[in-house]
Amino acid sequence: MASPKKGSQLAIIGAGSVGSAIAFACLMRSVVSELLINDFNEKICEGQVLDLQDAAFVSATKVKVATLRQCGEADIIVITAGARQRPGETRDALVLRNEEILKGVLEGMQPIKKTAILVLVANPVNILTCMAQKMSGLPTHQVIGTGTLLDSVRLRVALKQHLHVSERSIHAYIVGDHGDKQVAVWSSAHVGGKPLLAFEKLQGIDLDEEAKKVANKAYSIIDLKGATSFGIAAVVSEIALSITLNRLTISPLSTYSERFDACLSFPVSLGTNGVDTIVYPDMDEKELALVEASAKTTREACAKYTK
Amino acid sequence: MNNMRPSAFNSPKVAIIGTGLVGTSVAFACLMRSVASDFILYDIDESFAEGQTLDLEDSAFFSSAKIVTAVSDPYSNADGPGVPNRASALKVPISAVGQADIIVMTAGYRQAPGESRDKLLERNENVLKDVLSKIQPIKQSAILIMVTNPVNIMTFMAQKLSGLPANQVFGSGTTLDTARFRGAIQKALVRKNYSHSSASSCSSDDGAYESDEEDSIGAVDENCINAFIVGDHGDKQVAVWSSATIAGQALTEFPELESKVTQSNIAHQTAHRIYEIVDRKIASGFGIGAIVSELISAIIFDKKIVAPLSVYSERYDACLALPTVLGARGIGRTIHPKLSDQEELAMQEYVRANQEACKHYRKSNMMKRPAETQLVKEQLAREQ
Repeated sequence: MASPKKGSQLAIIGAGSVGSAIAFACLMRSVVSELLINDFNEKICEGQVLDLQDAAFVSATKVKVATLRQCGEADIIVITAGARQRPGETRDALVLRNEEILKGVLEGMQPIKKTAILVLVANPVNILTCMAQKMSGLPTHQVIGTGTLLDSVRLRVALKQHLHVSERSIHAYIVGDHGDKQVAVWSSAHVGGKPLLAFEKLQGIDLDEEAKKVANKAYSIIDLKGATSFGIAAVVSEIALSITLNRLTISPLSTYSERFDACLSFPVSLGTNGVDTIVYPDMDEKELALVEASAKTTREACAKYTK
Repeated sequence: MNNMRPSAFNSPKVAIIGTGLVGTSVAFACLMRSVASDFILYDIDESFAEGQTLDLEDSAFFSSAKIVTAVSDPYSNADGPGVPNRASALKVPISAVGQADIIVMTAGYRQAPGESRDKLLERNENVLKDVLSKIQPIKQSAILIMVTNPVNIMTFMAQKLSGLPANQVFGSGTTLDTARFRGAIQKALVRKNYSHSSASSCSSDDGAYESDEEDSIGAVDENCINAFIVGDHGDKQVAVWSSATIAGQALTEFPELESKVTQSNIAHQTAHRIYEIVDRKIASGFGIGAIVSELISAIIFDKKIVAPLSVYSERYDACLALPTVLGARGIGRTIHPKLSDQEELAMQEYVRANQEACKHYRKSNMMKRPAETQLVKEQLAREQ
């Protein structure tokens, strides 16, 4: 019999720089009562937990090492194992490595708590999300990936400088694939109800170049400091809060899209029960074509995963 | 983008010098806790600092905080090779660091294997001098928080070299040790039915693996545990058991803590926790990040918290960690917890070592803190 529940639990699989940054972010924001950390390297896992516990005094959260089995009982399970992209390595090259890891993790966590929400962070995120949707035993709407949320954040951070408006008020989405093929939906982006493209402050700006910079930002950061951690950690803490507080905020996350019959990143409302609704932004012909191409690639790559 | 219009509110600028694990931990903790909204990051390796700034700005979206990096040539448009369509962070001149309201100094060297303490101090003194000269002129109301180790001595140096009033320069002292101490005491209080270890052993391994069967009735929030580590942020730190309390009740009278062996083990565990961590991985500085974010918050919101910061003590004629009030104007009064004879002896032992290490820097004059001088005089008069 399981011990009496003390409160909400968030499990993080993978205690590397990404996993520990996610833990730190969730700790600082008091997202849950307990953080469970797991890594196949027990020593590193212990070290991270001891380090995180030093920070726990500012928050109500407790941090501890957990087995995969214990992580399977958590309310939110974040899988980062294998997330780090090596300098020069493209996202597609990560596929085989991360598929193996994910398989081992999902098997080790069984049986997973029926109401758990699984969040995939590792890359390539759409494919791994699809795989997890088929193999975890959880309903599809309870398995999501961080998708293009970080890319959308990066786009808004870049536009903030030109528009002099908070990131949160720039409603622009990047959809499709978290990778080189991501699609910035300029046509229906808006600020304060006005189309983004109509803003004078953007008239001289090469938006394609801005979009490329956003798609490459991870590489820029890796080139300068070796890896990325803070951006994705903050994004995951936001996702976790959306779930624990049942916020139903709309964010572009990896999810199964019926319209495109593929696992892609689109704006979805996220709450305690996982994905509630999917919203398709209005896209022009060019954007649609790019999304359809992305869907085809993802569908083909995912065809081998069955429930 | 023109930010030169006068504003009704001047949101405090926080500058962080050194964008390694400690500096970025501080920045990230501040961002996650929405402590401030305006950050400047500086590192001698400017590309590295830019990478950290780009990563941190991605984390600032839900608070809409501003993060920029200070560089020697903010107007250069040189694009590094290697990455097409490279993103670049917002840049400001290094002098902007000196104009910040709160300056956090984390840059410095760690002791290399075989390196003497004096050599390390010399190297870090040079780093400090170099940084201070680059960021001139320093805003006269700026508050400088020293984190670089050995923090007590670095604070002593900074008080002499920065040109700022002494109450505006302090160090992180034994704040982290105190947090660890309270965490260890909390665990001891929880473990009433601790089966696979006697009361005399308290290995920190057990901290990482918490048992589900722990008796949570015994637990006490660590922030309600009034216990301090003072003196050295290092092996010679003094765990003040004699006057530690929870709600006025002496800690040493709690059954879980009355054994001297337990007390000594907890103190030892606290002082050595850092080795437990670095034994397993490179320490990420999560603890110090959280703590410094708390100190920054205390300044910005004029909280007047009491924390064991690195401050100059007239009583000991040395810069060491003692509970001190912290608010918007910097440090206020220092409070000397009652020490047992044994604890006082341990303090004196550290003071001797500290004064020896600082002897090169003791010759120059230092601005006294008026409040401290008056209060110390009063206290000494009472003790006559």
